[in-house]
Amino acid sequence: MQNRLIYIIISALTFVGCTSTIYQWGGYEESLYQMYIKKDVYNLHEDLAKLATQVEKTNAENKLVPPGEYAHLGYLAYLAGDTAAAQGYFQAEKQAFPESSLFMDRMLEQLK
Amino acid sequence: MKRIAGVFTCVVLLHVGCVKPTDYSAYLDHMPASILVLPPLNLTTEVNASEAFLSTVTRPLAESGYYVFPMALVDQMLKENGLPTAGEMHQVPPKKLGEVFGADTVLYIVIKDWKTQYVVISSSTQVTIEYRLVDIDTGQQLWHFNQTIREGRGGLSVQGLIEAAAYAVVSAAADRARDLAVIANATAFGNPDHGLLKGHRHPDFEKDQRRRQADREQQQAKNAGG
Repeated sequence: MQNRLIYIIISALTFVGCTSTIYQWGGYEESLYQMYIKKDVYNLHEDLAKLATQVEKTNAENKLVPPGEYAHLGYLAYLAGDTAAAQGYFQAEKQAFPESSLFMDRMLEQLK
Repeated sequence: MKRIAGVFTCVVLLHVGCVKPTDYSAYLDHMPASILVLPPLNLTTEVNASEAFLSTVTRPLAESGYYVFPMALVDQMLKENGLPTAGEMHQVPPKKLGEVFGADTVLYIVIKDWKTQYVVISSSTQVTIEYRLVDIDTGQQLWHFNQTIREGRGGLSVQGLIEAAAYAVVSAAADRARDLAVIANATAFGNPDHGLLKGHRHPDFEKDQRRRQADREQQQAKNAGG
């Protein structure tokens, strides 16, 4: 019991500063995990629909979508054959995160 | 979150190589806004190690205040440009990556060691990960950390035995790898003494910069004084 308490204290110390998050994470990282590790059961269209809905909700609640998630959605939309949606998401990434401008312009150029 | 907290209660962390204070001079001089994480290079035989890190590294970096490039899209882009493996991606000169992605820095993650030992019903895993953050224009190393993490489950107590048995049933090897990656990342990036500086999107960015500059001046004065 005492050991357990010490471990809890260590973990608490490790996590100092991570109690509140800047972004609304939703399923972005889970999507990466599924794409790479659960390839055999990964469902592109389901994942795309799920993330798209989450991002809409995050925006409606005036919370922040994590860096890379719009671009990731753009990639999923592209894989699903929806070029228009992919363009929209790459634009959204660029707008939310100007750090991505060069890369997103490159992607938009490729979709033309 | 609950699951991660559960894992944390069973983790022993080993911090290696923190004898002298970390020198943040180069980091402060080239303070980046964005980080391009290359797909992690796995030097071990652990099957899902690279993917476990790939899918967990964005969050702690973004929450530290940096722009983090989309992992899957970056991976795909590099593959389409004739770099099918992480090993080949890690060989590309940083400047070249800068031209393609417009990132300020590249983060190299190398999984160097991954050992799991099973003793009766308990098991322990030890992993060693190297993190290296490099300025994309100059190729200069801004931050470096060798992380060794040991995670154990089970043991001689009744509770330990139950935990080990339950974990073996509930959690597949891939999920264990992910749990370990989350812990390794959080402790490497988040440590106040040798972790990452706060990025410009973090609410404490300016405070952190002032503190690090002050630390640096103090260290310089100390060095000058003998």
